[in-house]
Amino acid sequence: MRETPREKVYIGIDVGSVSVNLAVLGEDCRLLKKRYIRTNGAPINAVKTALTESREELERLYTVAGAATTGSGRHLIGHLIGADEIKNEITAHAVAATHFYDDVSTVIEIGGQDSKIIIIENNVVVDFAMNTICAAGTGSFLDQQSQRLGIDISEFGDYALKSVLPTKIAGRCGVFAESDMIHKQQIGYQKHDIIAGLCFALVNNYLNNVGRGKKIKDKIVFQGGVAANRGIIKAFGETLGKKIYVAEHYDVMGAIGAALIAMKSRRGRAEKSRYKGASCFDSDISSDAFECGACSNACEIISVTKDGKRLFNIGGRCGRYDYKD
Amino acid sequence: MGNLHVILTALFKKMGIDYVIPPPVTARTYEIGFKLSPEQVCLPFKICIGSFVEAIEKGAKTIVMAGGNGPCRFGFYGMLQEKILNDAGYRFKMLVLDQDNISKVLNELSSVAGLNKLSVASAFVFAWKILRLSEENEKLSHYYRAHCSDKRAVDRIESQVESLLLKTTTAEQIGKLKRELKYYYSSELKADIDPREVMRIGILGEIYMMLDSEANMNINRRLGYLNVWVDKTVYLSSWLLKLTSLDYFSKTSYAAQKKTARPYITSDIGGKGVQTIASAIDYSRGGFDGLIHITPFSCMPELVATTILPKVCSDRNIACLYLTYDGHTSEAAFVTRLEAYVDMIRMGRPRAAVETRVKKGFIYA
Repeated sequence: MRETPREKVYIGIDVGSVSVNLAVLGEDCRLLKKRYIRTNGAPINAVKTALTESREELERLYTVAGAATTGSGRHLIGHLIGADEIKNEITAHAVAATHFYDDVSTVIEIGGQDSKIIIIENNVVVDFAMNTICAAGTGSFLDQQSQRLGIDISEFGDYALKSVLPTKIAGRCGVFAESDMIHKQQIGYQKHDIIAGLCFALVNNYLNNVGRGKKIKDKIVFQGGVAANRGIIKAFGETLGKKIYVAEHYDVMGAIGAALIAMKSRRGRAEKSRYKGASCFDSDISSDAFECGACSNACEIISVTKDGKRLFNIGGRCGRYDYKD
Repeated sequence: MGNLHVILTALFKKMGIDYVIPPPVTARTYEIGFKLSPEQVCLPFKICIGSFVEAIEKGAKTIVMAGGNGPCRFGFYGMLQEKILNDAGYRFKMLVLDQDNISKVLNELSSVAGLNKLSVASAFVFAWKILRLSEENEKLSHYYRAHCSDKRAVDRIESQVESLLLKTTTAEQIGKLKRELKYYYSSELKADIDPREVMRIGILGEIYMMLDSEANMNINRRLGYLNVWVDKTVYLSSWLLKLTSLDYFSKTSYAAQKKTARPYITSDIGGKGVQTIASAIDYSRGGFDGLIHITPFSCMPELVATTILPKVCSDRNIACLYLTYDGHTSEAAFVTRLEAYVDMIRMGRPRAAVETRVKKGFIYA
């Protein structure tokens, strides 16, 4: 019996500060598989988990024709797994958003540590901004506050929706916001009013910092981990007075974007993808940092080893420890 | 500050003055600068303090600091730094060089060196030539880094030429270098990148951030690695000309730039504010693909400029990326912004425009 040719797939991995996301796309851009795994401070382990879990299925059914990484850990993981493309997360998110929504003009993306706004005209990015002042408006801060209030982060948004009269919380700075929240709780406000107030504060913070000077037009697409929070979606909608579209796969849009980028660059190419597959985690991979002593910059160099043998280095300003494959 | 040490080295060497080059700006320089400086002051102030301390540690007895009487805080920096360093227990002499006292300081320097006016003048001419060569070298490196795939080779050649310049002592050597400068690059490198892939981006903003590559996190290099051919609005020589009003009749004189910027700003806001607006307009006329505005946090003139630039850019249909520096060392966010910006321009620019431009070719300026 002749074996049917296996479908070609493209892998995108978004190595974010809080989560590692995996997306597998088929030739026809169908999303075949997605995984969302908490980084827990160890991106290599998280990627390993994501890839080994889906390994059996990937190897049995598909041929990986291309892979790309994005997110703040894109260089480390990209070199490790042999990504064909290593792309910044802004481009990846924009590519994914325009893929799903033809007429998108504004992409709001709020992740674990950073938030961005991307302005799109005719499917092309024309402007973008990232948070500079602080991380008060991002997922990490929400995480921290939900822990303090003893609420699971997944219920956070539903709590906010219960509120009829959200209380006012100062949103400029995480420290101010927290002291405001404590004050409100001590004078007797209900938890859900405080949480709803926080949602509004974060939205205002986002619009005043990240979105400063940007013309926010329809259609607005909201993606990133925080898009799971219905309280934030509601606050955005009410503050802007516009409909907010939450991307169906909001949590893995970066990874989808990366996979689309891999597809675009690899499609129709004869040479094989550099992707090494989950098998590169078969041996013991570890990363170690050391301080270079050549000058007083004392750059931190990350050295990645496989079974004790050095694979490659990352870091340093001068190129002394450049990537070595 | 950038290649200031190149010109001063040449000058002092010619005048027979014993000099100390402050070590390159490193993490330690930042550390010292941040410890001794007021918190709200801008990054250049802090880096200077750090550099001065490191120079004093290496044995410097006199510090020459540039000054100026524009309405930006920079005019006070020399005096303030002298006081801060004295309070911290450092003993040295401070010479603040600005438009008004330049001849007085020169007299002082020549009396230290025991030279007559003529030899001082010739030392200046010599140093000036060195500076121009050093800038020529930088511009060539911008061109080749964007057009060649072997980026590290460009870095290597650039620093080789730079160290040759530091060693140069005679007029013959200058002449030889001047003739051979282009050859250093063209003999080893081939412009093998498709010109359609190369983008032209102008960097504008605050002068210190523009000139000091450590302070601006090597923005020229990083853009070059992304196949971007960079131009900077300010080079040290053009700034010196402006300071001494010697460029009065040139197209880039302050008077000419004020005229260019007039539709957007009529008053002098100090620092490089007006020039920033004017050069944004000039770049958009010159067929540039995009602009990058760099400024240290809390810089007043540039803050004013950043509120006007978006209007200039939307009127003239050119993109601009705004980067603010405050001594943070996290490079990841910085690189992400640069990459995303370059991607954005690359995807967004109309193919037809690229083709005509490639056909016409950029004249190497």
